Formats: sequence, structure tokens, C-alpha cells
Amino acid sequence: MRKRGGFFSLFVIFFLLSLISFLLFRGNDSQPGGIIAWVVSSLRSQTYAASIRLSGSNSTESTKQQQETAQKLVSETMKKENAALRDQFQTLSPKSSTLLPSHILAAKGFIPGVSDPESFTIDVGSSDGVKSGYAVVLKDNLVGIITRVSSKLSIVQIVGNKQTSFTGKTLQTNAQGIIKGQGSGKMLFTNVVLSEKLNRGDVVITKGDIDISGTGVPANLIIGKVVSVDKKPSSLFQSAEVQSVVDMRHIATVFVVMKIE
Amino acid sequence: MIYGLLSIILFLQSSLTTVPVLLVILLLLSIEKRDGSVLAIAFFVGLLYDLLTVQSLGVSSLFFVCFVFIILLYQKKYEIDTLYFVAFASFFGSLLYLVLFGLSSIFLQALVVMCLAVVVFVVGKHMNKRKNDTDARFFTVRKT
Repeated sequence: MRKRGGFFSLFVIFFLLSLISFLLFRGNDSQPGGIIAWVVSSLRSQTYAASIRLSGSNSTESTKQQQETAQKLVSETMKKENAALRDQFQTLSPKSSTLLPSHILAAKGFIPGVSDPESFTIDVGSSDGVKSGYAVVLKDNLVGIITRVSSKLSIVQIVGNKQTSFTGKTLQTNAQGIIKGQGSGKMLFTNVVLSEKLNRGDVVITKGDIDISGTGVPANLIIGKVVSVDKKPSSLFQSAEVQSVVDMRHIATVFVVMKIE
Repeated sequence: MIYGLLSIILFLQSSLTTVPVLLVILLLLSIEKRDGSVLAIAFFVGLLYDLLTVQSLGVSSLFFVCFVFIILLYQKKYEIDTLYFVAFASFFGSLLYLVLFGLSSIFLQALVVMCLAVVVFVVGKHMNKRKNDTDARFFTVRKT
């Protein structure tokens, strides 16, 4: 009986402590979490770089080749980073002066390196001027939206994430609708009226969701391509499945859109 | 050893995967220890997880503490050291976790967690049995 009372009181203590910390830090952009997460960020970036490399290579690779691959890992990461920066500077929209380059430290997905990630952890935070709601791009493709920020790190919710939703339109026919993430990299372009034309292969771009403070998703960023259309005469709306053109499993550098012009 | 394993899984779950593997460790710890110390472990593991994933501090702790508490309550009336309980608790615990945290492929991920929990439980039991047999043999030899 004494033992039961013991764990019940412990439960009450820890439950209240958790609840208090949750209520205190809810929606706070300067969480202490950033400091600890930043300390282990080097280890995380190495793990992520290794997972990119391993998912890209053949499983039959010999041990010797794997050792050579590990030695080349750092230089290849640098090459990828330089290529991403060069590509980004050649892109006209969004302007490179409004972008903040950042490295991906961790990518969380169901099976690492195999299934599309749900979120990224990047190495810029509120100390760099990043705020929750900012868009993250690669060239002129939308990668995701920043949802949580600490002083040194940010969490990017990828466009295919279940909780992502924003407005979009097709480049070819200007059909407007809502993009909803379905999880595992899949997206649904929904709420498109039946009178609008939706075709397989159409490019879906952002319509622009910017709030009064200037944060949000800029217009005309590529979301993906229509892979299938679901149109029923009895329904009010038609929908389409959209596939991102960016391979989220193999990117190492992304850019945060800091200022929308 | 268990704390080392817990640290590795904490790092992997915060960096690489969405599969709630930490729940498996907490479940098996609750079955093994059956006291309030697991609540403290659940609280601190939850806090560290929130810190590493830049989540609202305490949100995972709340879930982990409640999960361990329910298991400890359950063990007062029923036998929890069974394969059925491990499968049931790991599946529904992870399912609830995945739904609450808005993750995708919830059934598949919950199934993975259940399989993992069952395998670790069976292996752990087998190892315990072997260790007990060895101890019993050692004491029998010493008596004779």
C-alpha cells in the first residue's frame, strides 16, 4: 500500500513539473533547448551526412569502398554545399540577398534515408533573425516552413508533412486550391473548383501566404508536379496528387527566406 | 547499460526517425522495475527529448509520465510481465503518441514499435532465464 502511495505522489510531482514547463515554454521562441541541441549539432550533422551517403550508395559496397567513402564524406559535403550556393545565386526569385543559407543537421522520417523526411533541423535560429512562419527554399522550390525556433536551431516542417497546408495554383492553367501534406512526402492539391482545368504534369506553385508582419510563404515558388487528378462530376471540388520535384532525402543545404520583397 | 542504451535511442529518435522507440524502453523499464523511479526516468528523458527536438519543453515528458503511470497502475491488478501486455501496451501507446504528435504512417509505425518491443522483451526474458539458471547452478555446486 505504501509503495502505491509512493509512486502516485511521484506521478503527481512529475506530472505537475511537466505541465508547468510546458505552459511556461509554450510558443516561446527562445527556448533553452537550443543550447543543448546546438552542443550535439556537430554529431547530428555527421550522422545526417552519413545517412545521405549510405542511402545514395549500393548496399553491396565493400568494406574498403565504405572506408574510402567515409574519407571522402567531408569533401563531398563541401562540394554539395558549394553547388547549392552556386545554384541559389543563379536563381532570380527569391533574390539571393533575402536568403539565409543553412545546413541540415537532422532529418526525421519513418525509415531514415529511405522514406521522405517529415521535418528538418537546421543550424540557424532566432539569434540569426529567423522566426517561426518563414519559408525555406532550395533554388525556386519550396522545401518547407519553419515551425519552431530556438536561439541556435530551427525546425522546418517539410511541404509533404501532414500538418502543412497553404494555398497554391497551377502554372499552366492558374487553377487555385489548397495544398495539404499527406505525410511521407505526398501532397494533395485540393478544393479546386470543377470548372478549373487540372492536368497530369502541371506544375503547382505557391499563391503567396504573407501576413501583415511580412512573414509567410512567398508567391511563385515551385511546390511540385501533378501526378494524378481525381475529378468526379458529383463532387463539389476536384483534387490532384502532387509530387515534389526536390529529393528531400539527399539535400544538405537549404535557404531561409528572410525578407519578402 | 540501460542508461547508455537510453541515451543512444534518445539521440537516434531526436535526429533520425519518427518511430517512438523511447516508449519501448520506458515500457520495458516499467515492467522490470515496477516502481516510481521509472516516472523520474520518463520525466527526464522527455525533457531531454524536447530540448533536442526544439519542442515545447515538457510536452513529451507529460506523455511519457502518463504512459508509465498507467502501466504502473495496471500492474497492481493484472500481470504485466507477459507478451500480450507488451504487444498491447506498445502498440496502443505508440499509436496514441503518433496521433497526438501529428505524425504519418501511424499504423505502420505502431506495428514496428510493437514488433520491436516484443522482440526485445523475449530476448530479455531469455537472457534473464539463462542468467538465473547459471546462478542456480553455481549455488547448487557450492552447497555440495
